[in-house]
Parts: sequence; C-alpha cells; structure tokens
Amino acid sequence: MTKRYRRRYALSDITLEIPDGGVTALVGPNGAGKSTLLKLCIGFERPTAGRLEVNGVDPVRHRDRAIASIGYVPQTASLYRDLSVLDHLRLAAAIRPGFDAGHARERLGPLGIPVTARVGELSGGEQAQVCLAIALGTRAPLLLLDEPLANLDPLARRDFLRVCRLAADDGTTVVLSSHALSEIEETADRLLVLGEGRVLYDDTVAHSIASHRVIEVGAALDGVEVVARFPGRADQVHMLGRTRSVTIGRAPSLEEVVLGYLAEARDQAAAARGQAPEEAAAA
Amino acid sequence: MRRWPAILRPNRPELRAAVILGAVMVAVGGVAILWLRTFDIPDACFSGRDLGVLCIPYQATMLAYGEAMSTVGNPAAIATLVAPIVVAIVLGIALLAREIEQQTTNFAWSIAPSRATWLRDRLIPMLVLLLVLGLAGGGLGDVLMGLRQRGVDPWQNFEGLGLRGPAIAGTALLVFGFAGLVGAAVGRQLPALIISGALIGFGIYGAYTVSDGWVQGDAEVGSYDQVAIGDKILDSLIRTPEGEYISWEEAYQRYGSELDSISYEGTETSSGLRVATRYVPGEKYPAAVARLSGLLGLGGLVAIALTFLVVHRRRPY
Repeated sequence: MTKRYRRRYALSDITLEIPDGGVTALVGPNGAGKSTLLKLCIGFERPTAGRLEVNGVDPVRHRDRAIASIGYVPQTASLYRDLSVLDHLRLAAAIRPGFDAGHARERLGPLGIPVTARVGELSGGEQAQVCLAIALGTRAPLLLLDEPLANLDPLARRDFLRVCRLAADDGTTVVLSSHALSEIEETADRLLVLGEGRVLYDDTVAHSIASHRVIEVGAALDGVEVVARFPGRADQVHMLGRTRSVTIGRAPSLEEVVLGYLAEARDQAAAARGQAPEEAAAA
Repeated sequence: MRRWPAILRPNRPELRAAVILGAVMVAVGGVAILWLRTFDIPDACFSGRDLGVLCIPYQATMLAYGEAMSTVGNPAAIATLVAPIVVAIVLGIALLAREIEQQTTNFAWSIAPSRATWLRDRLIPMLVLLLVLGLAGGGLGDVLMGLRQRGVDPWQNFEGLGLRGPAIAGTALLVFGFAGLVGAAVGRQLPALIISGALIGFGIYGAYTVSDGWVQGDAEVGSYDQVAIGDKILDSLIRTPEGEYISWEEAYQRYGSELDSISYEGTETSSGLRVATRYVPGEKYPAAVARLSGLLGLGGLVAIALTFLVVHRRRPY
C-alpha cells in the first residue's frame, strides 16, 4: 500500500499485517507515516495505491463497517470544548449503536475526572483520558491510539498504558503509536518501526530484544551482523547487532532496537545519496 | 427521545439563538399586526378611488396609519424576511464548517459508523426549525403586506413576490443548503461565510431570473384600466387598429405625433390607436410564489444532497 500527499510519500509500497490481540507499538520519527497508517485504517485517508483491510473489511469501500469495529483516539483530543464529559458520553451513545457509556464512566471514575466538567476546563492529559474512555466505551475489538501519551504526565502515562494492557488482555487489539519507547516496552507485545514511509522492522517485543545485542564500537563482532551504529547517551556511539548470543555485548532496550533500525534506514538513505554513514550521522 | 438532545447538544447555542430570534420575530411581527389593525379605516379608502365623502373623516387616521406602517410595519416586515435567513446561514455554517475547523469531526466521525446518519440526524431538526421559522416569517410578511395595501388580498398581489410568504422558507432552505455545502467543502468558517454569501447571491438571483421568466409566461394584454392593484405590470404597449401590440418606440416610428394625443383611459385615437398594458393578473400570484419557493427550496435540497457527498468523501480535518 502507498499513500502519497502530493509529491511526498507518507507510506511507500508497504506490506504488513497486524495480528489480532495484544498491543502493537507503532514507532518511528515524526513524518514516518504512523498517523497516516492509523487514519487509513479508520477510513479518514484513502490509499494512493494498494489496499488494506481492517478486520477483513476494506475501510475505503465499507467505512461504516470498518469504523464499527474501531475505537480511535486521535493525535490531538478533538472534543467539543464547550461540552461536558457527560455530554460527550451521551453524544457517543446517541451516534454509536452499542456504545457502553457505563464502561467509559468506569474508566474515568478512578482518574478523578468529573463527568460534569466542561472539556475546555480539562488539561490536555485529562482530555486524552476522556478520548481513551470513549474509545473503550465503543467496545470495539480494535483500538487505534495515535500518540495518546504525548500530553500525559508520567503517572497518567503509566495508567493509560495499564488500561491499554487490560484491554488487550480482554481480547482487544491495541495499536499504539508513540515516541515514549521506554514506557511502552512493558506494555507492547509487538513492535512495528516505520521510517521514511517504509516498514523498517516488525517483530514481537520479546523476540526483538532476544535477537539483538548492543555492542560497543571497536569490540570484536565474531561474525555478528551489524544493523547500524546509533547514538547512545553522553556522546557514546553503539552498534546494534543481530544475534541471539548472550556472550556478545549486552541486551538492548526496546528503544535501542528502534534506534538501531532508524539509524540503519538513515544510513541506507545516505548511501543512496552517495553519502558515507558517518556523514549522515553527523548531519 | 433522549437521543435528539444529545445529538444536537453541540449546536445548542445557535439553536437556542434561532428559537429566541424566531420568537422575537413573531413577537415583533405580531405586535405590529395587532397595532396596525387597531386603526379603524375602511379598506375602500386605500383603493385610491373613493376618497370622497366616505374617507374624508379618516384622513388624519390614515396619515397616522401611514406613519405607523413606515415606522413599525415595514421594519417588522423586514424582520420577518431577515430573521429566517440569518438563522439559516448561522446553522449552515455551524453544521459543518465549524465542526471541521475545530476538528470535532475527528471525534464524531470516528465514533459514528455512518457519517450520513450523523449528518441526517443533525440536519432534520435544523431543517424543521428553519421551515417553521421561514413559514412563520413568510406568513407574517403576507399579513403585513395585506395591511400595507389594504383591501388587496396578499395572495392576489405580486407586490413583494419572494420577500414574503413561502418564498421565505424556500430562501432559508437555499441559504442553509449553500452554507452547509460550502462549509463542508471549505472546512473553515470565515471563508465558508464569504464564499457561501457570494454563491447564495448568485443562487437567489438565478432563481428570481427563472421565476421572472415563468411569470412573464402568464402575462396578458389589456387596457390600462383593466389592471388592478396587485397585478404585475410588465410593459406598456400600443394596440394598432389592426389589433397588433407594438412597443411605444415602434409606434412613434409608425405613427409619430399622433401618439401625443393618446389617452390612458382606454379610449382610441382617431386612427384607432389605443394604450395597452402587458400584465400578470394577481390571481396568478399563488402559482408564481409556489414556483419560486419550489425553485429556491429545490436549490437548497440539491445543495444538501451534495453536502452528503462531500461529507462522505472528505477528510474530517
């Protein structure tokens, strides 16, 4: 599937499948195509070429049926500022058959968000929580969450991710796009890295960590396939190697796996431009 | 029944304003009508024909009536015309342009499985409100016209065609439809207001032009004294001795100074020339206003149908 905005490719000839159940973390730099992919799933965008299916339904041809199986949290909370939370729940119940307002309220209760409060009076984080509560209230088998953690404080993030985990444990498929890699590591079952409009990496989180090692630059590689060099903390440069050997380097964090594959994509793009990887990294 | 208030909750401020404006319009129009009806003047005195003994005692009252009509009656008539149109444009812009501009469609269209149902559920109550307001305003406008030209049935009177009666409801529908359509396409309130304002102007002009053509098709030719108040005079002509109707310009070319002695009373000149009038009789007014209202309303309905198409295809942001 390809999605092009005028001359810019948001997604370029990608093929991927997100399996039922669990939490899939959709990660990548800004402009990688994460939001575009989610918007394509809910029928807000149409593919330029190719096709996609959501629970077996083409959201372009049968958007109504596709949306009926999706709970969506957009990147920016697009709620009615002058309406109360309760108004939103009533509105959702009025326009969405089977909307479970009680379930949504259960979600908001422990967070201390009063349902009578006007949305305009809530913080960005609280608005994101309201969006998630409404998405959960749809009781949809698929939740698409577009960078919902961006406006949340650390405690709220944890709580948000806990709810995602619970939903996934109940059989809901959760697709979560995020930059907060360290925090989603505990929640996500699957990692999908997008970059430059392509799928750079797609595997389970457990396998991603088990099948890679972080190796110091200059250390013996013993035949390990190096994915790429990537910047570590305090001006260090590490290498991400593909190996299951536990004797080489150390186990990576999820963030390091992602950084390694993003760096690989950067190096490949630089090579295509005739640039050395070091030059690309410096740039 | 709790479904409708929830669906219309985002539009509650403008719906309330519309109801209040409608109530004010009815109150202003109603008070004006009641006040004008307190003037005890025989209708015959307004005919312009019998100002003799019968009407002399009412001259002062007639002056006061004229003053009341210009200070209260006419402004009330304008209010009955303007209020439904203002409500139509406000509701039309709020329907989609505001939603898209504030990106609340992101929320609504991700929750509602069917955008068409979402739009329909909000449209229908707004349309009902607009039609009620338009018909109320148009009805009051008709009554006020009846009081402005006393003794003439407003439904047999071409004066103010399109500015009163069911045409107000048709105009409101057209304005609402165009504002909604442009709002859906543009997705920004101010540009939608400006663009739809221009398109509404063209739309109304087009409907009036077509309607005028239809009205002219109903025209008859007769002598000047056959024309009654309420008839629509289209043209003044000359009837030749051969029974042909020609324009004054052509008549001057053919008959020259003989026309200087022509009388408007319907009498013939020595060579048989007579003034004639092309006019549409007042009894054709109901058909004319029905056609114009239908045309305006149809324009609005077409715009609404196109709005569904745009909403189906466009992004919610």
